[in-house]
Amino acid sequence: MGDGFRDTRSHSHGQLTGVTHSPSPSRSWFWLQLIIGWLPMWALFTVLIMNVHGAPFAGAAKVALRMIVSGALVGLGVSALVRRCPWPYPFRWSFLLVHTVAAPLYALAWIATCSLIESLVRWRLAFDMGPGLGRFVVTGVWLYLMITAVSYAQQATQRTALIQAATARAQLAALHAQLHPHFLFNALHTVVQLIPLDPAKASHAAELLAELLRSALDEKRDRITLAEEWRFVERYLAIEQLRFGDRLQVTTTLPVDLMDATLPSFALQTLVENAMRHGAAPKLGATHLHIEARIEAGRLCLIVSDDGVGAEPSAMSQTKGTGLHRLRERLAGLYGGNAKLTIQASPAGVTATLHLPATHAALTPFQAASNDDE
Amino acid sequence: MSERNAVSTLIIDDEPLARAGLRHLLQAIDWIRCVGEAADGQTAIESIQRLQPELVLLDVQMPGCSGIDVLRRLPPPAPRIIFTTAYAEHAVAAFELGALDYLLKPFGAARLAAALDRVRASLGEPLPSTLDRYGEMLANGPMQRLFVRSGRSIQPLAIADIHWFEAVGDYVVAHTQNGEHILHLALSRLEARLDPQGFARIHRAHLINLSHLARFRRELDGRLIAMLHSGVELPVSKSKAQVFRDLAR
Repeated sequence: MGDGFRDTRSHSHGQLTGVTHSPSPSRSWFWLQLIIGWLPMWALFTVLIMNVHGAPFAGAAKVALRMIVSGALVGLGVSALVRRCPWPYPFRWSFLLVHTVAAPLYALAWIATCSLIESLVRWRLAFDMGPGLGRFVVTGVWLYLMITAVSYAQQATQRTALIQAATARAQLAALHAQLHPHFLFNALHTVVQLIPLDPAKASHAAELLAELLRSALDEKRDRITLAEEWRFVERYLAIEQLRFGDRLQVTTTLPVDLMDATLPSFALQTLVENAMRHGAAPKLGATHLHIEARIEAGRLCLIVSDDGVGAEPSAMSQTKGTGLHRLRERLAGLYGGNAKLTIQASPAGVTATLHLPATHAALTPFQAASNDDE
Repeated sequence: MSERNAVSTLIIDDEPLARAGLRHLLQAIDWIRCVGEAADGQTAIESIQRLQPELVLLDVQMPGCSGIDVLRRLPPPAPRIIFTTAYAEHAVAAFELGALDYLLKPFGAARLAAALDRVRASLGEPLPSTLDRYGEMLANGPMQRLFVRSGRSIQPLAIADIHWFEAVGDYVVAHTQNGEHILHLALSRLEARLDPQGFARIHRAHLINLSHLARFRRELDGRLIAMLHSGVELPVSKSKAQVFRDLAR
């Protein structure tokens, strides 16, 4: 059942990404854009040929059209190269090297294509030397720069749109992911059932649930301290404990001196929720959940291990659109290559380890005082 | 007597609190008798086969084997099933498998009561109005028990224990060893749901249980009288008397 549900969710996620990830317009629109983009170039080349060679307008336009069509055709290859070789963040010199090699190659291919068209039109072998090979190659390199500039500008626009969409999606997904709707409904059911059985416990459970909801809705920060994160996870686990009873045992190793270390908000929650849903819930017997924080080689390690039903390692790594997948996306955004999430899955259980740079919350005097109180 | 005729019910949910809550809700209902509980799918199948409950309240999300799978694996005849779950997406599969109702968590006494009305309809009770056609549709065979309202509670009454029914105005009185119960429905509607081999309409207003019939007696004026074991004597109408005479011949 759990699997069926996961499928549905990744499906809806896929639909969402389908909408936001496709700024690519239809095919005919692509060709129209290409033609409109190259039209001013044709005009420019016509004027240049008329001025430099003193050619009549009709002849110049014909020659310019030949040059522009071949430039655009070979240019399609340049656009493909730009797609294969996106602008590097941060900048790499190898990127420049690729284009230094590609530019003269483009120029030569352009000249060859011009000659080919010339030959086809005249139906005999013709070499189109234009204003001379040197100038022709320089013009080619110039065209190459124009094409790459436009392509990279387009890429940057798309990238911005994607980032904006991803941010919006992350906000929408945050509550959905951190406090799963089914967790909420089941927790509410627990509260409803408790009302006649144990009213005091029922009101305590309702309070816990309200605090969880408030944190999940209010938390706007990307990074919070381990102490804050643990407060949230603790309440979540308290509700799960009510639901699962003896079937859930939780132990923790959370050193006090690590409690002001920072981590992405809801990162630990994602790992714990994953262990609950895919490890503990489907298991017949009791599940032991261990949550640990430690410093390893100067880096903060957060470890959530369970001896639940376990999973095949391949199944764990490939699920898209799950909480873990979103957490990986966030880690990449927040830490680049500096954070790592590893999942060790076996039929005996799952251990999720999050490696983060060990950063501590910048303590303002006020925060330091309140931390002392705890 | 109410205990014996109560609908035997099994609660299946992997969460202890959900089971305790349901048990508590069902305790308040006179015509329901909890015969057991199970916390996972596999145990559920075994319990259903061993206890043969008439009604099962079945969670969907459970370790080992889901509620849907439990219903799929049960050899027929399956008991009446009400699913209880926080997941709405399995409702279609549940109804395809003939579930009576699908309770979405969280639910309380009110929603449960509506589901239990449907259970009674499926047990053959002709509801006063045609409120729950679905439950009646799922009813199979003649009804074995009736549910009578006494005060605010609903009591189960075995059909076999009813000596005769009497139409009085818009309602029907069921006469039993222990007294009379009023049913708010038409006698003809009730008759349609009863086993025709077990009951006979001897009069516009009288429907007798043949297992409680001692014999017929002919009066001097030719009228036919049905004599029940309880000592009650009921007149047979002329047209019905002809039918019985034809049968006797």
